[in-house]
Amino acid sequence: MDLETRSPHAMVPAYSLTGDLLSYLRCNRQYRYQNGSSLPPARPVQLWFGEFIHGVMEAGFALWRAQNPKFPWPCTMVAWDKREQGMGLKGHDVGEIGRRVELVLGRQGKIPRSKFLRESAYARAEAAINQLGPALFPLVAAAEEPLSGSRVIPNTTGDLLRAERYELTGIVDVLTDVELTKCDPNNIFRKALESALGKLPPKFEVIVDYKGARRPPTKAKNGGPSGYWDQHFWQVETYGWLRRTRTTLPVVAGVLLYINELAPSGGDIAELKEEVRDGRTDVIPDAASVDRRNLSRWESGQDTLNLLSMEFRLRRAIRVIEINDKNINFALGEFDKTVLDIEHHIAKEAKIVDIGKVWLPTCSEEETCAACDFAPTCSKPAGQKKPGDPPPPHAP
Amino acid sequence: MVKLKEFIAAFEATQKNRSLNANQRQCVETAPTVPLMIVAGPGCGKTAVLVLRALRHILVDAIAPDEVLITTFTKKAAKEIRSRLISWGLPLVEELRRRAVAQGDTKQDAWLARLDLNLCKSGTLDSFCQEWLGAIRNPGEPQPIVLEEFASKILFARRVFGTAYHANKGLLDGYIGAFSPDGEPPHSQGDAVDDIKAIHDRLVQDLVNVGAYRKSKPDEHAKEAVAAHLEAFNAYLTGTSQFNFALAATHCLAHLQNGTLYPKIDPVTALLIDEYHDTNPLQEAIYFEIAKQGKGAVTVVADDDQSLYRFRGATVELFTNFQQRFFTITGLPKPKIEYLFLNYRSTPEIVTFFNDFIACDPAFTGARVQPPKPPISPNRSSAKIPVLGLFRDTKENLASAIADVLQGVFSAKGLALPNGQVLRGAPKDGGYGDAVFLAHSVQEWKSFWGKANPGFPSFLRTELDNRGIGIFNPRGQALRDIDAVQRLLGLVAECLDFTGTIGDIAISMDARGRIATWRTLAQQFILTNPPPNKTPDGKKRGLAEFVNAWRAGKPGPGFKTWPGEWPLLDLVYTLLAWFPMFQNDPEHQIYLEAITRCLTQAANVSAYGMSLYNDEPHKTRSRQAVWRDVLAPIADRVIDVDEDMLLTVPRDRLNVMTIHQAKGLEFPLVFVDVGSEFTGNYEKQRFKRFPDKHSSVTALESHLAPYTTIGALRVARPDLDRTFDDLVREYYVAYSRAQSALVLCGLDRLLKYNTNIKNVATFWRRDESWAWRQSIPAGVKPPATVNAHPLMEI
Repeated sequence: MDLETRSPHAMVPAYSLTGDLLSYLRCNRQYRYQNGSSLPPARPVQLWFGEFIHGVMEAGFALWRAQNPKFPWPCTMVAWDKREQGMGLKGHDVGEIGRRVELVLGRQGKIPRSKFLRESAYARAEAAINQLGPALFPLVAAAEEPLSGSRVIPNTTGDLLRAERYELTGIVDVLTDVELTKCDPNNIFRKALESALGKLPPKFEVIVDYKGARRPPTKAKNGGPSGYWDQHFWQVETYGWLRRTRTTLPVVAGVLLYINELAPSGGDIAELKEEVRDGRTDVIPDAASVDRRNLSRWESGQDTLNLLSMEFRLRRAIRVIEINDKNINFALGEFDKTVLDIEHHIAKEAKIVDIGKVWLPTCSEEETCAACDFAPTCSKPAGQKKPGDPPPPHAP
Repeated sequence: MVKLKEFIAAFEATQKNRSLNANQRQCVETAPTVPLMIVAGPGCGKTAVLVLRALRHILVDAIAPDEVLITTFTKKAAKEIRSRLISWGLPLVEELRRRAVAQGDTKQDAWLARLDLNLCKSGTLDSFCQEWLGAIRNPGEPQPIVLEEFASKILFARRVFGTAYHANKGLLDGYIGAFSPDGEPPHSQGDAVDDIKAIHDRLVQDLVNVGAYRKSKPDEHAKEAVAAHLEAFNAYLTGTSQFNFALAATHCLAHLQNGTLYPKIDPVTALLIDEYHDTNPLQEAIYFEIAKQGKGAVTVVADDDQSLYRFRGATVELFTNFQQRFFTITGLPKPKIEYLFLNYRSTPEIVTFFNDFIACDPAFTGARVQPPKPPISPNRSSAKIPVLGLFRDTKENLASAIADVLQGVFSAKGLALPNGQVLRGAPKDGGYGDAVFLAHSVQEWKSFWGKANPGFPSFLRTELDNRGIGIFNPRGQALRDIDAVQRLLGLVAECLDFTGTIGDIAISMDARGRIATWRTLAQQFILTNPPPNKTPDGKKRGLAEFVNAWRAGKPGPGFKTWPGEWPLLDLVYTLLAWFPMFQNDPEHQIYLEAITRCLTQAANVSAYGMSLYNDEPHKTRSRQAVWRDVLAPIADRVIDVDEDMLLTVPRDRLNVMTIHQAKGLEFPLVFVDVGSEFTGNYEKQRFKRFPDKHSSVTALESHLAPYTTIGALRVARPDLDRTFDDLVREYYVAYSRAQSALVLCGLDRLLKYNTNIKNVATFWRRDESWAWRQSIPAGVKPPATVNAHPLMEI
């Protein structure tokens, strides 16, 4: 008698747009360790900031809806060693909202790691609440809406994979036309949407997502495509597809909010300067503007918070991406290919049982590699032409 | 909505190899207004029926997908249910749309097109409680966090118990020790934490009337202390907006009962519960509240014969008495019982064997659903492979025999059996991963009188290693005993102990000794000068230089002075450079993940958040925190590996699992260890084969029975009987995992006609009679081997 082959359970693996797919595209090897094995980052700075901003905005919106405190809301940052007990601040003080979010993140091992990062996070959260909140909150029909959908993995070669389909997940805020048409014609979101899309249909939805990052350049330094710029585009189109399954209204656009632009750091300004100079960003200050002059005169170490006008900062913070069938199909095709690639890697690992031979380093950004926890064991960090044995690491 | 007949036809059309049998069809066809209790044998398609019933609710009963809630016992099972719901549901919807279009029913097609099965909710009850806590938070409050068991335990020890234990030690030790696994007073504070937490879990899960319990005699002072510790800990957690799983469920139940939760969550119009036999009274109360308030369809699926988790609070009696309890407590209609007993998994020989096993001891009958489900019928045809017996005189020989069988089966020729049949691995894609070795315990090393002794899986690993066959046993060794883990953690200690006295803090003696051993291993490892040990320009620089730089605080080229603060995780990740196995081997990745999980959880409760500081006194204290909150807990075995972390199961290795781990799984070839360790009738081993006294868990159940409404039902069977029942269920689960070949293995003295090693797994009954032994006429010399066993010995 011949035994049967042990069939793996029919799986429908869940992939998160930001957590899995974008992370895999950044580096296959890092993805295997951080997502496949859930090895936590040693310095979850980006993770902490992203979740801090999302947490503050979600809590801020819930407070606004329940109590409608008048803007601007105060921001009294609670000292690090007082964060457990608090300072008895008002509920809508951004310092108090942030404190509560910080406590929850801290219990998950996510802490800001530096005073500077913490201060800049509060500065950005305060700007997000007070600059975006008054215009954004009245438009939000549903906050933190979980989205999910299933897709067939395009396994055209019939390889033995653990799954035939995958589940795609994400979380967004939703704006609807009802709220949008009710609001002031000068509302920054209304204006941004009208300017990007022209005439809006009679009824529609828009999805919104926050990014704890600066607006990415439209092109890489070498003039090639910019990973983050394109990936954020795919992400919005895919969110659009997911949202369409839950609504009868056309989902016409996605709005990405790059929070760092509201309170940029020195590094952000330096990069902006470079991108403006090289023509690698799409929102630049007018040639004769004060913003342009301030930007060109700025030098490392100088003030950044009050360097650029809020009008310009808001323009850079808001990115509107049109959602349509063509774009959606393109983006979904890209994600399907990515999932297929991941599943191939998983099947290969089960067969040859050697992570190092299956999940090769693929990162091309030196900054990402410099911050990678697995750099001391990486055979081909960005910038290195050929793979080779990594040298023995140094103490810090 | 879709007609029921069409639904079933469309399902069968999309699943070409699957048609519903009469009982499964009955389960699917039962109207949603009738609560349904499905008693399903192993391999009889219970998950399939549960998923189909959920799909029926959506497609036939037109219940919105987000109003369908499916719960199960583990995250792994929840994933499987969700996978099946989507992988069956989507083609089914496509088929129904095709039919609607063919019939010109555009309205139906449009409705089907809009259905979103991904909205259907599936998960563990713990995960739903966590989600529901989010629904009842106040505006502006962030999503609450539910602590992992490990962090909860550390917090309890640190914030509540540690300070009070020594004052109450005399009072508590005798009382809590009576319910510890060995029945002995705790040997350390760590043991005391484990023992008291086990009692706390029971107080919560069994909905114990704590007021009555704490005042009851005898031991009223100890009980008062136990209850006060629980209250203090819950107050601490609540005060800091934290939850553990027990508190989260308790909060949800309270909010359900006072009407403040249900209106804030999506309505539950269909509630489907898998593995109901492992439900505890707290979970039952939550389910019943949801059923009452949702007034929708309710389905529970379970097999009372496979209830294994009494030690985690599972109360099989909630299932065996489900009909009456549901009717009485909820006031909803009395559930209808359906039985699933057609087995699609195993050959007739295997089915007959486990049927005989479960029916062997008449004393077990009283523990089953009444009337019990009919004997399981095989759906597969016979391949003339009887259940095999592999018994040898020593562990070494047994390990060698198992390796012979494996090599034989997975060779091109296959393994010739005494009956002329040949057993062979699948010609295409067959491999050692198609086989599993199941045992009560899979620990490769066991501590006995302070000495590490090899367990049988260790003999098996050695034998298979010698033959070049891989073994996959992530639970085989405690994290603290794994060679690479010991060296890695030893190196962490070596790097951090810049004074030689950092570890001189209050940790258990055992932990202190183990950490010292790790450090010795690390020092020996350093002396081997492992690669990488040269810079690209050929200069010597290796692990020794790295460790010395850490101890001396001598910065590398990236810093002028040693950084003021540095994450411990960074040190761990950097040390991996000298451990290729942690980088490349999936099994070692699980160990690494367990270490890092310990570290991140410890960061939440530790004063320095697992950062290493460079200015005194924080330099010393932050390093001492690493000893106290990471090294000592791992040394004390507070944290261990979790094979759920695994991304893929290697196909080229023999799987080794505990029977508990194997629940819900199936394998083409299954070895069940029925007694590789039983060299004699030793008292210490009896609980594993033929208990002569009740288990500590049943003792605790009985102790708390007067103060909980479930008590009377639970103690209707004596403690010792319940202890026996658990053992019967364990081996029933083991035997029913096999698809084509089942091999019982152990030491040959178990099968001696005159053996005094009584063993439930080899069909001994609790009245001390043995089903495999036929009496022989007086004066006739008894045979060497027992004369009525059904095994084909190989």
